Amino acid sequence: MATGSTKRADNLLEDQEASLLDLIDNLLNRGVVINGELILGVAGVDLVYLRLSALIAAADRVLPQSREKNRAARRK
Amino acid sequence: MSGLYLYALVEGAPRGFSARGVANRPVKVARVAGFTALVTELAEGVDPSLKNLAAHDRVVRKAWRDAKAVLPIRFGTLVDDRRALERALGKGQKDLRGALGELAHRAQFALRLVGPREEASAAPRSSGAAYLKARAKRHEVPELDAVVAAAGSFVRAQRSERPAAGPIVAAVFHLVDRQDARAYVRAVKRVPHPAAPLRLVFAGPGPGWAFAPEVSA
Repeated sequence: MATGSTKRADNLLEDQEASLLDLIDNLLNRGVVINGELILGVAGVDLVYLRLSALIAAADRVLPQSREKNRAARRK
Repeated sequence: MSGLYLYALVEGAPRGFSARGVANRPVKVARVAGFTALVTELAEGVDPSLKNLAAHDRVVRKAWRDAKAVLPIRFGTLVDDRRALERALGKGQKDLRGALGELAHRAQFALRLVGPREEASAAPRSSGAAYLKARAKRHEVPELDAVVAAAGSFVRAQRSERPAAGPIVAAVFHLVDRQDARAYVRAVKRVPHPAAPLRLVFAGPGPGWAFAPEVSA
């Protein structure tokens, strides 16, 4: 059951870039890996990872500008 | 390709856990081989779209917020049926139980170094010692020594690695008691981070993705 500290701990870092990188690295590269008789549902996961890695590299350049725009919009 | 799509194993999930998962299908709680698994019944394989990745992440994160312990399963894992899942979980039972115990009431933080990577020197094949030394280096991240030392008292477990390719040069994952999460973040932010061209991307708290075992059926 969730505790107060759990809920408070959920939003300690708010960073779009970190969230996206975290999501992709975690989901495609980590977690329990079940081998053997089971089927990995996505045959081309490695390729997907590479493609999304490229997206992250591109996001590197885009996101700081987006954040600046958001800040500027909030100031108005 | 149809079957049960897997998100996570959970311990202490609240009654009536409900969420939408991949392909916008409902997530069900299945009790299999003494474990509680979050699953979605699918008539066909899952499309590796950003939308489905986000849905998988959302389900695991929701479970992590609500349950005592969550063991995330890699995106795209589909089993034929309950019997296949039962076999896999049965064989990996000891490791999975151990991992669930380690993750209870804890949160993962990720410290990822992004930037240009140095040319890796090939491990010499002539010397076994040199080869082993080179292999060990894959788990050393000296750039983050100061950060790791500063946060050390809050860290219950650590994994580190140097991926061979991709935008992440090195990464350190920490498992921290949820109640210490705020103090841990303060400790990490207090010390100087690696200088350019490397950049530290700090993420968390969240489910313990990096602390999951590999299970063979």
